[in-house]
Amino acid sequence: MTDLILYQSAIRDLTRPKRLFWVCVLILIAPALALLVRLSIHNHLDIASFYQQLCSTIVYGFVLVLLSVLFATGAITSELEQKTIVYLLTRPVARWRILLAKYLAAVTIATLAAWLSLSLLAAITIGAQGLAAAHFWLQMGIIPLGVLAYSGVFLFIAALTGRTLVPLGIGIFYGFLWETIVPELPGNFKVASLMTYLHLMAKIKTQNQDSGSLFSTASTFHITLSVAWLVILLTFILSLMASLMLFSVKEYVPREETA
Amino acid sequence: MITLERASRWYGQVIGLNDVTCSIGPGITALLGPNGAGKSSMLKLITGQLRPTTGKVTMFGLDPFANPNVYNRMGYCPEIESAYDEVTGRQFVSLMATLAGLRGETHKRSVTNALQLVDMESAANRKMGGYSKGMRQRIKVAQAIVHDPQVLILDEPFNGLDPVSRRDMGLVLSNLANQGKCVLLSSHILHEVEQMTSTVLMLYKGRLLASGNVREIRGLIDRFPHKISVESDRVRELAEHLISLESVIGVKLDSTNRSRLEIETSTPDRFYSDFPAMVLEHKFQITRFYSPDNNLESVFHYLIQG
Repeated sequence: MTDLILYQSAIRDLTRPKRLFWVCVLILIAPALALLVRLSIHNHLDIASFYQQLCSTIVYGFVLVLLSVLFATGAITSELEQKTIVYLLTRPVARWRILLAKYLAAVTIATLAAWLSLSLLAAITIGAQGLAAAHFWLQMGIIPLGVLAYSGVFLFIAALTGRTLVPLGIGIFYGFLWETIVPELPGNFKVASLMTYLHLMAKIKTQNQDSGSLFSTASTFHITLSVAWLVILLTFILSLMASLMLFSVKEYVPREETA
Repeated sequence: MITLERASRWYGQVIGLNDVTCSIGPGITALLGPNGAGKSSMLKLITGQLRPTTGKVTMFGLDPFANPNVYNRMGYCPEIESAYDEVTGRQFVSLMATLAGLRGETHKRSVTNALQLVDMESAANRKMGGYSKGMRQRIKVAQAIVHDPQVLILDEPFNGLDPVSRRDMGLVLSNLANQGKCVLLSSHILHEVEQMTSTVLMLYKGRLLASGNVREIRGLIDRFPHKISVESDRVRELAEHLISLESVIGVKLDSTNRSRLEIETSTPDRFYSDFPAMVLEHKFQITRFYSPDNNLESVFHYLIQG
């Protein structure tokens, strides 16, 4: 009962109108881009490859990461900013339960938003007939795993810093630079990117894989599907456990009150 | 119920609370001090939001930091004005009651009782975003008392309340104290808490300056001349009459404002009873009457001098 109430309260807190506006913008980026391209280019457009490209770069590479940053960091920092965290932290509920409820709320909303974005993208590009061929359902299924892993990482950063801007800054750097550039670097750099594993699990073909570029062929480390699953699950479990432990022992008092 | 043993709290280079030792039992205890004295730091240590840098803080013999066994028996009304603006007062108090472990009929009855106690029953179904400062204050107190805690800690509970609400809130807290509960409240206004309790802790610049009976502290204060400023139409004539009062030890004409007198008294209570009679008898027109010493800052200055 207490956990359900905490979960509902976290959902309400994370779906404030201002935050929802940006979520809607994120959801619509990939479908809007797809619509724009479809309306302007009538011929010579390989729809299946175009869908894979947008799914890889926009939905997985951008929307999923940014939604995880927004909601996972918001799980801690929004109450800290509003200073209402004191009401929760002085109730007879273990701190880890409070954070776990907030984490699950964040994962729920981010997953739903990412699902919506991918569904709209698929509807505009491949349509109902192309769903099976494009591994659409597999990609939908891997989204929650991606959200769990990324949200765990960003939750840990938010729990560590207790501030909004630091995890947001790190999240944006991570999403925009690390996860975009690192998988494309020559050698074995790709193993340091969660996106590499998610792409493998979701059977998303990236540009390099298609073209057999120097960057991709230079890699000596072959990632198997089971390794990908292991890395994603371990990232999720370890980062979540570390966040829960940290949240249980760290002081969380709104900044100006400690000054 | 609450014990601090040489508790200190540093914020980087700044000290918030400095080597405080005290114990707080049942009844109302007022934590007094001017702004920045360390009241909120002390309450945050007691409520387990912060840990002491050195020393020890306990409640019911337990470390309060993130301890559900302590929070089960403690209610806390923070100073912050922020609340969950998009929910109603009833939903907020209900959420806090659920988190405190109340269920079913007990839950419903406790929420209604708490709202009635703070006189918020009629406005409870309105969203908190539309509440006035006083209403927010009352709903904050309601969430703190909803689970019938043994220890109630209130940070500046009278902020934003009108005089009638202050009196009512004072009665609510007095009733809780009469039931054997421990009520610890902070304030920077001495007379506000004087009417409710005689037990005070006085903090100044992080240090516990005085503790005990408020009358004893008052006695210390009264050893020093108390200043009062008066503005009138006939100041010289008023000065002549004032100097004849036994309670007045000095009268000075203000050089910057010729209609103002500065009076010094060592027995303020007696002066306050003599003065109106004298004014009425000689029909002086008093345009302003105030005491710069009636704030806690001056009280602390006196205590430090003492």
